Amino acid sequence: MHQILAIINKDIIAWTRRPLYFIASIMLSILIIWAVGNTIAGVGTIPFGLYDPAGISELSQHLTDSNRFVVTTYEDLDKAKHDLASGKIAVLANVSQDPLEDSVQIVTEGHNPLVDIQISTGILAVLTQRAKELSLPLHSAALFPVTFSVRDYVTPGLVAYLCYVVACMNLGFSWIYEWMEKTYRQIILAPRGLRAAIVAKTFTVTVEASVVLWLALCITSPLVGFTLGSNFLMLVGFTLLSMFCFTCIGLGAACVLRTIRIYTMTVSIAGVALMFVSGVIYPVEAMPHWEQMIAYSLPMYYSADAFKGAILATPADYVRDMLILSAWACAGLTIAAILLNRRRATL
Amino acid sequence: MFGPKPLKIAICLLLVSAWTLPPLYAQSGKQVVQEVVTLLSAPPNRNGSQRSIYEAVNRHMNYEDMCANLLTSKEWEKLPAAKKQRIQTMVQKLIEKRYYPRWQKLFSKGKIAFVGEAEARQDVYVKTHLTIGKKESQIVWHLRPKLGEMTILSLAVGRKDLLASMTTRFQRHLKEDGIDGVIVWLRDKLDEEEVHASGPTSSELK
Repeated sequence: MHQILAIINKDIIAWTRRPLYFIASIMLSILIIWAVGNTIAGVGTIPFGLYDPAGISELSQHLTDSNRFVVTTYEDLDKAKHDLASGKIAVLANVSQDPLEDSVQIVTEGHNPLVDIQISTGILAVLTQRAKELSLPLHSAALFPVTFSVRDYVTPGLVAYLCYVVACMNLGFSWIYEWMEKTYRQIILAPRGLRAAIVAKTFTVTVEASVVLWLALCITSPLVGFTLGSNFLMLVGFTLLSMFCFTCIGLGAACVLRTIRIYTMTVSIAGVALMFVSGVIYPVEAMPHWEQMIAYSLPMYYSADAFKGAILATPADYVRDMLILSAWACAGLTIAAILLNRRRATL
Repeated sequence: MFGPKPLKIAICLLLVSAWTLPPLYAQSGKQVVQEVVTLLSAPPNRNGSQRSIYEAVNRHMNYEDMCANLLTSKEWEKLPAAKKQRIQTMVQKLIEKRYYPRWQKLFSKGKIAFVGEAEARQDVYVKTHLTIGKKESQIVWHLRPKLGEMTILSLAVGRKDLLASMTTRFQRHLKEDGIDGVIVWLRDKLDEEEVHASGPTSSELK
């Protein structure tokens, strides 16, 4: 215990002496939550033209309220089409001025399919959920209507991804650099020194990385406007568990890869793949079967599931998530312990 | 000065003219349409004035003949008076909720120009042009005399006719579910319009 506390103390001193690394970690987390989150959730300032001179609909108000469109109203349809062609607006809604029938024609410039997708989803939501004054043969409904936005839904997945990034990076830099220091080898060669080093290192990195993530969330949440939910105990608990899981995996990977260059490269590539595969951006259910199988076998899916449950109160299997994250942590620790024991014998 | 012969001739001429000339109504078709457009163009400025506008418009609408046309005259005649009244009230409410606010917006923003008036049998068709911005659409008002007044039975925009489209839907429900099914469908449509009029609920917006 004394050894563990001594190593933790040493790591905390080293951490406080290098504030730049701490600040950089927070900046990275903020950047990912803010920029990546906004990109995934969709753009919020699509220039939208509305032709509805008689005010048949209240689309101008509804579109503005949806926080996805910046609306310009037109009295002249030809001018609106001209503005669409010249790029002043990205989409035009032509509301029929027919005394008998409601219809809305959506016209886009057409060169950018990604913008078209963003527009389609935004307009569908407005037309079917807000524009009740229009009698359109188009309706949408949810079996379990929720109160959170797309931005809120994206954040827990990004939190899970950040657990991986911050924990692995922190652990990698901390462990591999210090492994190369001779003083650290002396700690490991001491009786029960290796066990103390592993326990102390995983503990320190888990706590440090969790603090970084919590600070980043506290800064971005009011600025970007996403919810952190009300179940803070669960959020804190799953942050610590996820961080611990990825720290242990990082430790195992650091022991396998040995050099910081290979470790950084591998962790970065694996992180991007994990983010796309694990249902952080799109639901796993929408992916091909083989990709789903990969997602279900990786820890980030379960971390994201737990965070969604904790932050958004969506149905989550907490027990399963905890067990799988713990199993991955054990696997990482086992690999690290076996490799370090072998390496200690060669020292 | 006036002997019995010219008097007889005058009476005969009067009778012949009364029989051959078209009947005289309080207002012509054009005047009725003009009044309805004026009523719907007026902005409601006081609480409850919307209701009074609708009631004034309803006086020019022929909902009884409209319902008889929706079901065909024979089907309509067979119905008990209470059901007739119920259907007529529901159709009136449906059109009030569905179309009157829309016509108010269009007529207050646009300009109506009268193009012509034509008669076919006892009915009168008034052709108008509605101009909003640069866009012009043709509205043909179908009027029918009732109790000495010209009343609006339907209106058509392009190929769409209010009465014809309602008749198609009525007949479909009548064929599938009978007259009670039509009443249920009308009630559902009225409920839908209530939702449209009241706007989205807070839970729907979340």
